Amino acid sequence: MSSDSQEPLLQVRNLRAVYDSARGPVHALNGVSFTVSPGEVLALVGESGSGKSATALSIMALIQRTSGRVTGGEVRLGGRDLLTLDERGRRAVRGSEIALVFQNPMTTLNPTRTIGAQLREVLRRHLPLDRKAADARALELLEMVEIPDARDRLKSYPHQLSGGLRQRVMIALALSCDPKLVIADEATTALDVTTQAQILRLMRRLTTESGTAMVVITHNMGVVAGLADRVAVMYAGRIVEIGEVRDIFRAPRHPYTAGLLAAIPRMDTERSKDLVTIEGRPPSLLDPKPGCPFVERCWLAMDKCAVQAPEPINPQTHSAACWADPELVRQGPRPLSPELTTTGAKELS
Amino acid sequence: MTSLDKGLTMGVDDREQTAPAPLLEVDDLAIHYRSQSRATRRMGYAVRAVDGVTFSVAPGETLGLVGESGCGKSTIGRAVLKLVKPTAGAVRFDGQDVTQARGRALMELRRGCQAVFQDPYDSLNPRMSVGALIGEPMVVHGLAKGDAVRARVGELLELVGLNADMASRRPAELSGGQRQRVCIARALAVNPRFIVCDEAVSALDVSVQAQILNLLHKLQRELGLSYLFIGHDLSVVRHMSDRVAVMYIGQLVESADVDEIYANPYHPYTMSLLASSPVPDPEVERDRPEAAVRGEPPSPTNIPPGCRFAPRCPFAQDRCRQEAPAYAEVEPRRWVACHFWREAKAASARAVPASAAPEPTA
Amino acid sequence: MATLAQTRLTRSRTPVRPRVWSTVWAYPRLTVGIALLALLLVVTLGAPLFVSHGPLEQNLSAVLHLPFGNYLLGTDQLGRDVFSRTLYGGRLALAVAVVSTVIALIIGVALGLLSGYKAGMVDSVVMRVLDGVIVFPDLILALSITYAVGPSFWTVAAAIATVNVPKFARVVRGQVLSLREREFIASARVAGVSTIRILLRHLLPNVVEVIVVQAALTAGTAIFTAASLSFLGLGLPAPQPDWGGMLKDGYAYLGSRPLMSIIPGLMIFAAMLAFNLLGDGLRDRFDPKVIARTARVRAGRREKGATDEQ
Repeated sequence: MSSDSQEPLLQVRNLRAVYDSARGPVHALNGVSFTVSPGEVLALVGESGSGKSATALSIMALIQRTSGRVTGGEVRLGGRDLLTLDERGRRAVRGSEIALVFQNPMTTLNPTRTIGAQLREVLRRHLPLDRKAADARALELLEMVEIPDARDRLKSYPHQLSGGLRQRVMIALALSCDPKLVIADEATTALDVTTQAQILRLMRRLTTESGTAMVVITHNMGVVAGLADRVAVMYAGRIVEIGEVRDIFRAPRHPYTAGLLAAIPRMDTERSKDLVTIEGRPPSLLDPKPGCPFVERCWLAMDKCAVQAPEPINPQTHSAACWADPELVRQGPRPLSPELTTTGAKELS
Repeated sequence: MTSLDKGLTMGVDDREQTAPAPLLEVDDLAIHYRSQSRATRRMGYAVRAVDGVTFSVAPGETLGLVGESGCGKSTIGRAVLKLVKPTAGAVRFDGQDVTQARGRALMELRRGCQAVFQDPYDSLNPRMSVGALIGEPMVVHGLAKGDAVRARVGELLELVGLNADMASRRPAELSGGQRQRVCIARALAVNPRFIVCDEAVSALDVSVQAQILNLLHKLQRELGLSYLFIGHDLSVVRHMSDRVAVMYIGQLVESADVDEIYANPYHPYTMSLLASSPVPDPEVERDRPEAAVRGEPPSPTNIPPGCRFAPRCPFAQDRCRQEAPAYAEVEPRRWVACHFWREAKAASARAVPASAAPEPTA
Repeated sequence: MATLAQTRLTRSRTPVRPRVWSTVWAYPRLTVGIALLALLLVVTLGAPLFVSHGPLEQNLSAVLHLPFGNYLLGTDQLGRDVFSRTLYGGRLALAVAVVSTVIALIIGVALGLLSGYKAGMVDSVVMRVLDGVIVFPDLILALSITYAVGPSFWTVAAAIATVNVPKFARVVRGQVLSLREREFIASARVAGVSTIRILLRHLLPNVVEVIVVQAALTAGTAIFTAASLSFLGLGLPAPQPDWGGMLKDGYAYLGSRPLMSIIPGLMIFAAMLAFNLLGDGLRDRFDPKVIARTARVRAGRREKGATDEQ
């Protein structure tokens, strides 16, 4: 995409956030930086607890509605820092400039009102439309997201729709006010494969046509491969690698990315009996240690890694927060040294 | 021990010459639920969760059962485990009728056939310690007592890759992967020969999922286990299975050896599943042809007449909408339920879905 | 293993006292409820230490004595010490409440577990019978039972227990209905665990919270029902001191000796309040949403403490 020619649309710099838990603050985000250019699709990938959703919630300033809060950094959308806006300002930004598509549409859609009424309400809240114009626009939106018999569907209630249709309605709602940025948080995770394929195709078509930028949050590398222009891989509240989608998949530079890709059983490669795994599990975020968070699970770990955190990634290029020689990473994951493997397999906590 | 005797008598049996006797046989199984809402129940509607399913699993074999959510694959697993009562049909484990098993026969079945469920956060009683959870099956089956239980719990924990001293912990203190290992240890506590893995890795993160898949492989090699591996992720099922059966709204539509079915599907639904599954490769994904499948599966309360896939099928003709195709063995070890499987097969051979073609590895 | 030992160490190093205090602050209703209940227990069980006249001791020369002087709260129409009768009456009230609640709990929980888990016919029969009990207002049903059997401590306790059995059965059944769909119950069945063991080892420990909350709330209403029965003359037989009976006696002298009614009335109110606060407080204590909020409050305080120290 045209990522380098234009001013970035969204600029996240050194974002930090914590969640409060009974056992103390959980450091969910530890300096996350990335940019999204207009019209670009950036995928945030990682496993549960890596900070993908905390990032989305922080951008939308919704994290304080959970038990979390942003403790540092900035989120600039078109030059304004969203974190310093008051609640009214944020509400104006949400919906009209940034829109969200969640995993479960049923929690977002109002079960007691028709699809048409909900679309109309959103349209009229953000745009100067009269009732008739809003109706017409609502119909247009449903047709845009390829909902069959759109006119009848305007009169349907959410529970009368299938999961796939509901997610299409959510996308229509998200796009209703021509936002500059759509954040899709595991938007296809709850769907079946055949439905997911249709929704992914729809999302790809709509972003290309409208030029809307998108941040896709997912754990599914297949979804990333199909949808993203650039990919940011998250681990323990940090972005450990960022780059163009082809570079990430063809030549990962961070051992975690390489390990993650190797751990996925694939349909297009030979069926092998054992998968390469990353042994162990992510570190506790209760008290982050100095050094690289991946050091205990890394087959390339050096003494330096345990004490000194690697340089953070450079959001503009393909880069990884890792001390190891990229050439060694490219050679693919190896099992840890024998002694380490046994402890790793036993998942010492 | 009785099962060992049976194995010996089986050896004398003349079936020995042809193929090993299946460990699990499911024969024309049907499970219908009454509708939840009173209004539709009066009209006689039933949810036909499973409708005439037949398959078998040989000793040491893994049968993968794939399908989308609500297709009834988990219900089959539950019928095999005698957690739900079939409306019709038979489930035989080791020649014994599972559906009629009671008392001692049921306990024997439970010793032979165990389960690992989907959600590791839900399948361990939060109020029991790991040791109590793993020890419980041994205690209720009278396999061990006191210190022997403790020793065996330690062994099992080591077997599934955990520390023996984890026995004193509570499930809440463990990660998802560790919990799933505990579930596996609990299933292994009675030395079963068969394990139903009901979406056993679906709730896990990719790297943990790989660990658990490897563990299941290891246990199969070392203990000679058979699995019924129920899942919705086609690549995971492919990775685990020797044979694969594909399910669509309560019925099997196709089954075959794993490499056969993935490389060369005969049923249009299998084709569309394969064509829809995302592959972690941008090159493949960007060049993916428009998948042929339209719409979404109908609800099992409102099943279309004729072939259930007909409304979404690119090969459907009038006959499909009137007459349900039989699930038949069209080639050795290949079962298909489609009137026009030859046409579909020919079409799929012409345009092999990119995702299903095994790349020649260098 | 080193890490494991470390976790244990840090856990034991956690200072205990501040945690108690933060619990006190986090759950004010629980704290007040426990304190009030403790106070009631002390004054009723320790009654002999506080009173100078026995609760049954009649002094016909000091009938309807005014408060203070020889009798702190005066005497009733038979010259019995109101203060003494109030404290001793509390013993009976609390005993009735506890005994009837325990009986209702045992029967109700057993029925609730069974009908929730077994569903089908068992569930229908049990629930229909309990519905039959629940359609009668508590007091009317308890009155009919004590009237039919004749008033005594055990009749009153049994009558109040009968009224409350359906309440336990319903909350437990409700919980069990959702628990039985959980995978750990399926897993127990697959493991070959017997029904009775599933009920006791797998289901019961997971419904303890609702049982405890329900028990506290039930004890509160039991106090009221017992007092009402006595007030209507079908409660604990005279001359046993009890709050409902005292209220009834005092009713005739409401204008001239208001304390004769006000004191037992206040005690009934205090006891009910104590049990209700306890029940509500426990519900908060077990509610994951409130627990999360508390954690946040604690975290906030810790942070504040940390900055204060600097």
